[in-house]
Amino acid sequence: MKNSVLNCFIFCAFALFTQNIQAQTISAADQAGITACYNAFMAAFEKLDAAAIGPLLTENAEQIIPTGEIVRGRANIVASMEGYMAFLKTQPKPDRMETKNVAQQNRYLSTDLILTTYTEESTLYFGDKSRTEKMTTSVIMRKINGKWLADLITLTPVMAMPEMGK
Amino acid sequence: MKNFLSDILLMTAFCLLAQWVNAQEADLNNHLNESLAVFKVSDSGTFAKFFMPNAELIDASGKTFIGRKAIREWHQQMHRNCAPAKEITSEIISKRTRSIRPDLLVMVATTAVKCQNHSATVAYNCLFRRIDSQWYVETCAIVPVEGSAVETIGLNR
Repeated sequence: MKNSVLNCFIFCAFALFTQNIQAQTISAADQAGITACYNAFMAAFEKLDAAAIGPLLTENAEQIIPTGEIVRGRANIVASMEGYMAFLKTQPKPDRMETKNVAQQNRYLSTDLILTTYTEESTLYFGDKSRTEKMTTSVIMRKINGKWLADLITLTPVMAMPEMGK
Repeated sequence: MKNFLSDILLMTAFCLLAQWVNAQEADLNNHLNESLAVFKVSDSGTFAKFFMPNAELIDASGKTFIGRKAIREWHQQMHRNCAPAKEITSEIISKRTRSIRPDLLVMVATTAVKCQNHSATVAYNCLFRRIDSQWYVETCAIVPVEGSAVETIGLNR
């Protein structure tokens, strides 16, 4: 179950990423470019086609997945995705899933770099049972040759802890 | 105490970077040494100035701190949580830096940290920006390594 939830978090990362971008003052052209990246990513993921994710990443892209593992380079991320998607095929799929963004921060780092951070809350339903998880995501998108690509992705699971100072 | 390790995890970046010797980025190294020196003491206001005014910091619990004021308060709380420890140690497991542009550097690394009798292993990234020969932190995000002491002390509950 834990892995299923994790899988869904990653699955939704780019969906929320695009929603977050729309909430900021991002130019129409950049918005279109990021949406194109998102749509391509989602299509690849829905088809469990890891190879199709490669062109959406910069060559030196890096990813820190929720387990704390660092994956460096486009080829290694694609290979990691291949293993991950193979694992997905063995897991039960939720009947439905609800996802919402509970915090967001988006901004240009430069004309060719956008940083977005947000916390997503996902609830997965399996019959009459459900489970809710939170994940804080940080993505740096980079525009190369007019195309927006993911350069750095970090997924930090949200842990329930006492508030600061209490 | 439950969240003190989470609070200190970000400082790992500065501990690591202070050890980062790169002749081409000597100014950054000097800056990081200065930030580390400040980080170890309770001068949170000075520490926060090493960050960009609208910097983001995601700690190991997934909590986001935006801006110098929030980062300053995070730093203050971290010192309160770590007291009475005098020193926080770290051990580099892996690290890599790369330049996006001459004024933008990314570091992605894994390290083990220890404060008082507690330890944890984390992976993280930090993006640095250089303005007028000075380096500032734009953003940092931390992920606890599964199976590390972060879990054994209950930080992931």
